[in-house]
Amino acid sequence: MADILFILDTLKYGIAIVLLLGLTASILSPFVVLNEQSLIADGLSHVSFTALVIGIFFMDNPFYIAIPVVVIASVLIKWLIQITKIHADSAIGIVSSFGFAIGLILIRYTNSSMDLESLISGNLWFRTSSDVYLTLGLTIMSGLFVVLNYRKLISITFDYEHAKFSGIKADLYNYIFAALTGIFVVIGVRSVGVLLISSLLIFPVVTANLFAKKFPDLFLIGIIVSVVVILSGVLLAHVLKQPAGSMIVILYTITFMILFLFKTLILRRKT
Amino acid sequence: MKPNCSNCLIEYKDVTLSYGYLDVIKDASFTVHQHDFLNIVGPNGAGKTTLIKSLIHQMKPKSGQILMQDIKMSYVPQKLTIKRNMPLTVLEFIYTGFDQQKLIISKTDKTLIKTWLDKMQLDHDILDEKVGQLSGGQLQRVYLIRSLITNPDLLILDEPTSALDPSFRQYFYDLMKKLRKSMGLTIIHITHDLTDLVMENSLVMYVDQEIKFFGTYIDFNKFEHEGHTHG
Repeated sequence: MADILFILDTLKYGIAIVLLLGLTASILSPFVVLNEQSLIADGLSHVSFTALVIGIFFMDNPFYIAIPVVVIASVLIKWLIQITKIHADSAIGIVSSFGFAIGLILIRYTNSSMDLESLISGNLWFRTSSDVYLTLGLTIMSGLFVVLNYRKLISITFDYEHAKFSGIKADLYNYIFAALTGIFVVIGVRSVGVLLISSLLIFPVVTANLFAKKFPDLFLIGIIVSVVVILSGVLLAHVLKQPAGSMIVILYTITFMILFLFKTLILRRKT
Repeated sequence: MKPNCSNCLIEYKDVTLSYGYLDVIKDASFTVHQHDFLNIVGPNGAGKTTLIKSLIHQMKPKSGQILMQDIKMSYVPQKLTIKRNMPLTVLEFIYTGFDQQKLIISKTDKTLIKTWLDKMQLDHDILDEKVGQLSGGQLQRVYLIRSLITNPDLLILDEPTSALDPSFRQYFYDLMKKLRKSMGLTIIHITHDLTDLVMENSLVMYVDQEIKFFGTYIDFNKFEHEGHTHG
């Protein structure tokens, strides 16, 4: 018990951040995943790697340069989809691989000893209270954006052409949404890592969609699953001495598989 | 720009519509007046849906002018594309057609939706069902409700009865007839099968890359018997 309290105290900022990230992801994910852009976070995380490297050239805290760079990349992906009419996954692939390629070249010229491992798998230990406030700001911003534009976002996600026809500025909302996803990725990468950030965005909605009967269920079930998985993941990571990001993703996968089997084997048999 | 003719909602002046170098509609000129019921007919690939795309601003003309009054349009597309994996209920879906949408759907709006379900002979329980699980006929009626519920001036129907069973098809056209009178609705109706036509006092436009005929239904029968149409 004392050990658990010690972990909670030491990791309080890290846990708060990853919980807030989970909450933000649960709010954003229904609109991202159901818009067939599940891998946008994965693509943007590659770009954020490059953005952080670029940031190192200019200042000690590369984060403040990384945010606008990733937001631009995110908007660029949407723009590519719209202008060239290529599929979302191809646009994400183009921007992310181009971004990553530049990053791999640039990192050779940085003097700073960049901790590649913490970029890949994230680090919850070095988080501070200002990181918490920043993540909280993102959560509030995402929450407000979704609540205030809920019906419009549903319309755009379900039937983009009808949304445009009915006078909704669908493209503008898409760009704002892309920017929010970009900020989420940059903030999240430092805590859960480049390779794992997309899981935060994908798992809540695919798990919630197993049981959702109406659209708001996606948020409710997604948030519950995320909070339980993230807290258990962090504690388990400490006990097993493994990276928290990895444990969270493994738990998400196990939770999804168990609930999927429960639904297909037990609930269907009953009906 | 607004049409010059009196009582006109829409005026096409020598409009050519094309995909790349291919002209799909050439030099189309016609007018649609208030309360008209215009049937657009023609063989497959004649450019009927393309013409509609230009009307709902999804396509710009290569040449010519499209003049329209400031009207509220509703459109039921031919292909009802739905995301089956999205857990959207029928209630949430129909609500996307409302002009003023609130976070929480009001009782008044729900009551309005229910009266339309009655008109379309759908059970009220359907409101809680997911749109992705509806049958083709149910889906088409739900789409029609979404487009009619906010009292549009112009209703554009692209082969609306293709998934409806024959008994409901007859009922549907009677309903359109009533709405045309009670709501002052103007209707543009695309079909490739004129047997669908149960409307008296309706107009027919026969399209095959260009407008080959535009006139009353009675005159169209003469035109057809002279062997001008095919497909």
